[in-house]
Amino acid sequence: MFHFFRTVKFALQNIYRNIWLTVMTVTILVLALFSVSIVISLNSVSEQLLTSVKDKVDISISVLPDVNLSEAKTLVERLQNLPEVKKATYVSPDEALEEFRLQHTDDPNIQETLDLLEENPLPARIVVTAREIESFPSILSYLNKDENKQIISTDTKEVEQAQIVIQRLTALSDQIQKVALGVTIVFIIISFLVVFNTIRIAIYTHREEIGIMKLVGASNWFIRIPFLIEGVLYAFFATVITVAILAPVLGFLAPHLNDSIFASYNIDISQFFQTHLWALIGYQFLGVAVLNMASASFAISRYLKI
Amino acid sequence: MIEFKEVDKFYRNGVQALSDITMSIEAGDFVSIVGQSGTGKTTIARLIIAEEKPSEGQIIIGGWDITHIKNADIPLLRRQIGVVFQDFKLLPKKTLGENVAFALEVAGEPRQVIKKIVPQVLKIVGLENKQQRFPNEVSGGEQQRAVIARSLVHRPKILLADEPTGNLDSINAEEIISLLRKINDLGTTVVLVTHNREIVNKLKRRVITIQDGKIISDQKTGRYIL
Repeated sequence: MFHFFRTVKFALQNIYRNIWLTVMTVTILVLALFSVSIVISLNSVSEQLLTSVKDKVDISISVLPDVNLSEAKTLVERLQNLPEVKKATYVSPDEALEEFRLQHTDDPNIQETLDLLEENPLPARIVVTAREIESFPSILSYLNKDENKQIISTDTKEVEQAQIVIQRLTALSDQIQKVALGVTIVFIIISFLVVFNTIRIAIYTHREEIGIMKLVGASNWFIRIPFLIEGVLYAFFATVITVAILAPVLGFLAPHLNDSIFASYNIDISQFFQTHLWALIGYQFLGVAVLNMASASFAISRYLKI
Repeated sequence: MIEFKEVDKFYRNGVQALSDITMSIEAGDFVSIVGQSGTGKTTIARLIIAEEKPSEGQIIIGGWDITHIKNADIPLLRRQIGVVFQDFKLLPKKTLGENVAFALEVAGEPRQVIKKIVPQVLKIVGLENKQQRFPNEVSGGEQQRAVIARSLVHRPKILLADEPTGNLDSINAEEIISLLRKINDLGTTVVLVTHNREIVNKLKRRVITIQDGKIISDQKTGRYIL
């Protein structure tokens, strides 16, 4: 226990005596963590966005006018039994009209026109949601079978458009993932080198003290551990500062992003940050601490001859 | 207490620093190892504290064969040997008391023990009133006495002094040597590595003379013969 507190004391002395070096090192670590956090958050949000878009895609198929209800419901049952189908629902003409009215409550012209019509112009529909967006082609080919063509009229344009959007989003998400990986690797290398250099200088600065410690019988670990603790403390300072900067930045940006980009997708970026705050702090601290300890160990093995 | 058996030491560049050194120093001895600069005296001192390892032969300290000592065991050896060097090796930003306490701190001694031992050893070397002074506020002799105090904190069985008077005037040098004699009288084995003829001749103790890495003389009550 005495050893532990004294090694922490020596680590704090190292930091204090090279205060400007500490400031520079922590600043670079903060910049690295900040950039990586932004890219990782962006990546996570883009994945959520993609999932949200995928969940919203469904096919709405019109039931032919002379098809009776039981025939339509049989098709719904058959569709529900397909492994690719998540949900298949029958929407009656009345329900379709009600839904249409609700969708256009703000448009008096449409409401007026509907009131003028004596008959419901909308056909019954079957709404199909797939488990995977990639399953739509096989569902469509099933619907295109002769036995089904007598019940429904299939128009695949809507699905094709959705598929194009999803393909683009997937490509964008893959791209963001690659950028995130690249940025992370670059910053890992930079952080490793910066901490390595800081510890190397700390060892050089303390060479006299280290010599005396060896002379008076300090154990090898007692000499090494303060430098490892120094690395962990850098990680701690960098994580705390990064989160302190990131929180208000995201707090400021979130309302703007939520109102514009994510308005229709049920994604709240600040909510995301809040719910993942501890995980973000934990992973960042753990990641940087491990990285710094590895870097410090490398510098110690290279420059601290015991 | 200290045994060298046919010890050779070669450096990486092929230079032979020591050749066939065989000597035995008993517990409680006061031995001067003398010789001109570059003859291998300091190499012997470095071998005793395992800062170097012998190329050939065997070294035994207090019954412990340290010839192939593991790195992890070196600190344990060094806590049994007090070391004093010519260049003091005091930390300039610590007071004399803190410098002495430092040796106990790094060995993991509790604070109460440190508080008890530091004044005791400072009293032995006559620095009890200068505990709060910084190294640059005291004379060279006092700095060296602080180093001796530091070397005594682990109650070592051996005190190794490598040219302890090298940076001191004759009065301070005399004081240091008389302090070493006092410590020897208390039962600690003292190994003094020096090329100071006057001191060696005044001591009238055992003298081992080294020349070109070899022992050329080992006298029980010796003089500086080179």
